[in-house]
Amino acid sequence: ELIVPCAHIHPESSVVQIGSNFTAVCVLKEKCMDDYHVTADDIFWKISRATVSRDQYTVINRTSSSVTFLNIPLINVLLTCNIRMFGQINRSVYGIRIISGLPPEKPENLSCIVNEEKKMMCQWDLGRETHLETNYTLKSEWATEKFEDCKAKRDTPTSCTVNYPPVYFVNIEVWVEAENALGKVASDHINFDPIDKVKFNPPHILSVNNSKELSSILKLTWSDSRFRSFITLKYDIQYRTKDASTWNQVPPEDTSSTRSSFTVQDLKPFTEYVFRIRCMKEDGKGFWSDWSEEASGITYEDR
Amino acid sequence: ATGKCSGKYHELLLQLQRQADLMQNPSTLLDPYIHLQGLHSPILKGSCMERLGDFPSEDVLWRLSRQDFLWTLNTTLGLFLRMLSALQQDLPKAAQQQAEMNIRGLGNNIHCMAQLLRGSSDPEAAEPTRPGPGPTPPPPSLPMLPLDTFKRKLRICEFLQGYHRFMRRAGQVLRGWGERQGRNRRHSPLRGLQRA
Repeated sequence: ELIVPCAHIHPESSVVQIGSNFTAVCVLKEKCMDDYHVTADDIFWKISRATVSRDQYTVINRTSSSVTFLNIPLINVLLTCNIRMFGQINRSVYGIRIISGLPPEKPENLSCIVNEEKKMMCQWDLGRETHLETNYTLKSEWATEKFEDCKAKRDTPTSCTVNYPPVYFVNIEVWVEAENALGKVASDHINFDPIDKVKFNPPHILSVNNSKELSSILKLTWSDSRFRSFITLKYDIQYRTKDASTWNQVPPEDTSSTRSSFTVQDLKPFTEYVFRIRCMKEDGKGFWSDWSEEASGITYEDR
Repeated sequence: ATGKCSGKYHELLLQLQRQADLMQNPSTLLDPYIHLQGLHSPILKGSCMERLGDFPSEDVLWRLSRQDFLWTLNTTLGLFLRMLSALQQDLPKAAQQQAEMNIRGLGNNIHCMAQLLRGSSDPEAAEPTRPGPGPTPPPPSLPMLPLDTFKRKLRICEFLQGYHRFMRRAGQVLRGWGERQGRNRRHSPLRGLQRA
């Protein structure tokens, strides 16, 4: 036989905003009042194990007592309605959980990246701590199509990777919605072509060749992104002598268009040099790739 | 429609052109299929040619008004999308998914361009990209696939080849739009459409 509670608390378990006030009402059932010869005067409230001071609650009528808490701090507690029976036996007749927190703030600094051959990942700033279970959902849509919501994982609430392959040259609109028990808010929408958010795989240096005729040069060749057939890339090339710790930079204007080789000049003869290269979209939209693996070569002897 | 279309004609046209460039590249679908189905010997590859009638010809495309061209592109790719779904078992999954997404993305840009052209008072929007009356092509139909396994493989190969060739033709027509626009840039009525 299901135990019927002697009383009921309104509201049921609650999430309340930090700093707000909270009132609960405990209503005794007639049967219990008869069985235990009690009225609302016999009600006392407890928070977890601590009894609430009497001046915080009032008897509303024969069956009901209300308790009020002002300027709620950060809490996660059990509030119980208790009765004193026969003047000496205390019994808890109902309880609710009270959790306090904050509504989510508007997510800021939303940005997205498409790592080559991977799906788009977007990230954002959460704003203040809410102390509550807060869901962050990345929304994305074309003019003609809505994509499946991307729900950020509990342990990584500041980012989400969509589950569909990137489609370049189609503007997509993206935003983040944050929601918890106390509210829901959306970030600003951003609208972009994923091609402008690509981070290419690093180029792969194929060869570093010296020249018999010119002892001050080394020619690099490399293979890079398959995007090269329809996107113009630019490159950063850096080099140093084998024992140096600082890199020299080939002037960016010399490597500002799609290419697969470059001859570095003004090098010391018969010296081993180490090279590395990275690439990005020529118009500067998107991200630099990581640096390639280093490759080295030795300039020819001076004659 | 849900989100916003770009109101910039040249940006949208450039996107359409680049999509066509991307989609005409056999490495995005045909090559993975050929590899998966073991058709990469020179002889077999040589017999994997586009079959006439699978996709609208270049001549037909050039004779269409821009709206008709967009309609034909959209309808043809809509059918191809259905074929892609029917061929799921035959195609490498990643390539098939990417091709499907690319086609849906192209559909999005077609929708936006059609919307832009409807909003334009540009007479060119109605005229064919090349002078000359052009019948609206009959909607393309899905090819019947032979039961014989090898013939079926080859027929699918021809069809995928046709898709890439069709996208190349579409890209050429779209570039024709750009060049045509370039020649009339001074009084291009569409310039007024470019919103921030």
